[in-house]
Amino acid sequence: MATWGSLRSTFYTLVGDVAGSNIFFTPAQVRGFANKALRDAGQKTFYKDYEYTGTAPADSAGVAVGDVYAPWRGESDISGTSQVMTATTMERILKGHLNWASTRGTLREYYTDQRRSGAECAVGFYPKPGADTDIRFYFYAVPDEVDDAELNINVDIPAWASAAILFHMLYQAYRIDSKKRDISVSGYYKMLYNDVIDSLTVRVNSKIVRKADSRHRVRNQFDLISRSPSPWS
Amino acid sequence: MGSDINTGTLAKLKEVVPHQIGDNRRWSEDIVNTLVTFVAGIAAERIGFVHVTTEIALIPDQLEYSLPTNFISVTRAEYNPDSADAREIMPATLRDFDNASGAWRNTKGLRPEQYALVGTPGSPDCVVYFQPVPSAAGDVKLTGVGTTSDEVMDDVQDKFLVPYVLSLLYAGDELDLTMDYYNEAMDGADDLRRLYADETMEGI
Repeated sequence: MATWGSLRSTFYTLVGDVAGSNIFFTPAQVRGFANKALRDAGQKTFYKDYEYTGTAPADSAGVAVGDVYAPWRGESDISGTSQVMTATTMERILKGHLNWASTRGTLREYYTDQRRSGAECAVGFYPKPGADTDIRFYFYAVPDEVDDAELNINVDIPAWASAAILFHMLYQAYRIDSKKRDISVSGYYKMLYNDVIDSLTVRVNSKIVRKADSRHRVRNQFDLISRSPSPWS
Repeated sequence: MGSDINTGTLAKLKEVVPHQIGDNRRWSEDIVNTLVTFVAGIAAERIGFVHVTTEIALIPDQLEYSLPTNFISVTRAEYNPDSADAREIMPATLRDFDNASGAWRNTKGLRPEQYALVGTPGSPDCVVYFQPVPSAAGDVKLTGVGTTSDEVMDDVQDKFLVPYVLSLLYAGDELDLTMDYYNEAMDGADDLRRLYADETMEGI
C-alpha cells in the first residue's frame, strides 16, 4: 500500500520540486491533485463499495447517504427475513402504480432519479414503509480524501493500483498553467493513468459479473435521452 | 533466476544508467526504490506472475471475512484443503445467493458452497461472504493473483520493471526515450504474461 506521505514525496521528486520549499506546487495544490485523481478513479471504475445500514422510519420517502455515487443493491427488514429490493425509476413507478404516493407496505423497490438535491445520494423507497424498517444498501462509494495531517494513512485505492493516483497527479501538474507546463509530458502521464484504470476496471467487473449488470441498470436511471430503461433492459 | 524485487531491480538499473543513481547523482536510490514499488503492483496485475494464498479460519455464524490486501483477484477457494472432506467453494455473487435462498443471511450450514466478494481485491475494505453461513469452525484456503515485495524472476525485472521505471525517470526530460522504454516494458509484459500467467500453457 502507498501512504499519502510516500505518494506526495514521490510526486515532488518527479516534478523537480521539494516538499516544504514548494517552488512550483503548494501542498494544497498537490493535495487537490490527489483528491481529484481519487474521485476520477472512483467514478471511472467504481472500485469502492460501501455498505450502509440504518432504519427507515414509517412513511419515510427514502434515505440520503453521503460520499457515495449510486446504490447497486438494497435489502429491507435485514434483521428478519431480509427482502431484496429491486432497482427501479420514478418514471416506472408513476406509470405502473396509480396510487403510488399513498401506498404503504413492505419495501420492495428503490430509485434514485429525481431525488438528488445536494451532495448526498438520495434513495427513494417504493412503497413507503408502513412501519419502521431496517434497511441495508450497498453503494459505489467515493474514495476517502487524503489529508496532510495523515501522511501515514494508505491512499484509498487497491494497493497494486496506487500508481494510478501518482500518474493522474503528474498529469494535472504538467497540464495546469505553471512553469512546469508541458502538454506532451502531461499526455504521457494521462496514458499511464488510463492504462492502470483500464486494468482496474477489468478487475472490478470480473470480480462480480452481476454487479456490472446492476450498474447498467443504475446508469439507465440517469440517461437523459431515454428517461426510462428500455423494455428489454 | 531471481532476486529481491527492490535490490535486484536497482542493481539492474545501475547497469543500464551507470553512475546516475546514488548519493549526489541524478536520481537517489530512495526515489528509484519507491518507483520500483509502485511499478511492481502494475507488473503483478499485468503479468500475473505472483500467486498468493491465505487461510481463513471460519467462525460460526460469521458472514464476512476480510481479504488480505496483497490479493489482486481470487482464483480458487477450498474448504478444509488438507483434510478428507476438502471441497472447492464456487465463485458467485450476492444475486446468486438471493436466487438460492431469499434468507441466505440466516441460512447456515456446516460447509460453505459459494463465496462472493464485496469491494475490490487490494482494498482494505474488501470482504468475502460465504454461503451458507458457516455453522461450525473450519478453514478456507483462498488462492489468487497477487503482489509481492520479495523475490521476483530476473525476466520480470529486465523486461518490465527496469524499462518501466526508466520511462518514469526520464519522463520530465526526454520524452522520446520515455516512450521507447515504455514500449519496451509493454512488449516485455506480453512475453512474460505468456510465460507466467498460465503455466499450464493452455489458451495461448
